[in-house]
Amino acid sequence: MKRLQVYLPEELLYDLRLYAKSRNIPLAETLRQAGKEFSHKPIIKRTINRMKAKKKMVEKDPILAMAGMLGPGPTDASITVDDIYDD
Amino acid sequence: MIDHKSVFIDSSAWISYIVTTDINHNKATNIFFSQQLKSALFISIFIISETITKIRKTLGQKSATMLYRQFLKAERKKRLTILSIDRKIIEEAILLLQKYPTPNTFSLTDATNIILMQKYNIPVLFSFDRDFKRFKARHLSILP
Repeated sequence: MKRLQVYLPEELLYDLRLYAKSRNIPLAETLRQAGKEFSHKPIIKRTINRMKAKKKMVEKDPILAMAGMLGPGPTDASITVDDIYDD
Repeated sequence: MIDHKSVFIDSSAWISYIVTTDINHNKATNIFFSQQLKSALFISIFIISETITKIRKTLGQKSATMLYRQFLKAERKKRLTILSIDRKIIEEAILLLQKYPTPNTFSLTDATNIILMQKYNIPVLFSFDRDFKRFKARHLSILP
């Protein structure tokens, strides 16, 4: 298992704590159950599977792996390439 | 002879693809992920020079090196062909530039792109550089 720090809306946190208390389980277990249930919903599962397939394809193809590989930068870099020839 | 679906990729297309905040990033990404770019892809040594110089100037040496290594990786995995430029290509590029009187913004690299595309029968150029629209090259189509 991996450690994860998240922020939750106060009201949601309150409700989840109440549920955890009623079942006599830790809040973390409540969150795990909720996450598992969410990720098993057909529409969510379809999205996850689609993303997994895309990730696999990107990992295999070095050209696709270049998408956004340098992260944020100037917004006009692609239209000002010729600036490199200026003083 | 090279496959008719081959695409030559200009510096502007690479830069918009790898920089997430670039104005053309989404457009470039859609094209790179399209079927059209599953075909043979070409660049030249001059495109590497131009792209690396621009990235070095805007994002620093670390990013420039990372990009260079990725070009080499793509070449090793046979997803990209890096074309060399010899003196003959430069001679032909100069002749092409002479047809477009200065001042204009055509560069020697732009002209070598056209010459290489003619030499290797590459029909499609992927570029966001509007200058190419003014090149009167036969059988040249420009993406996007």
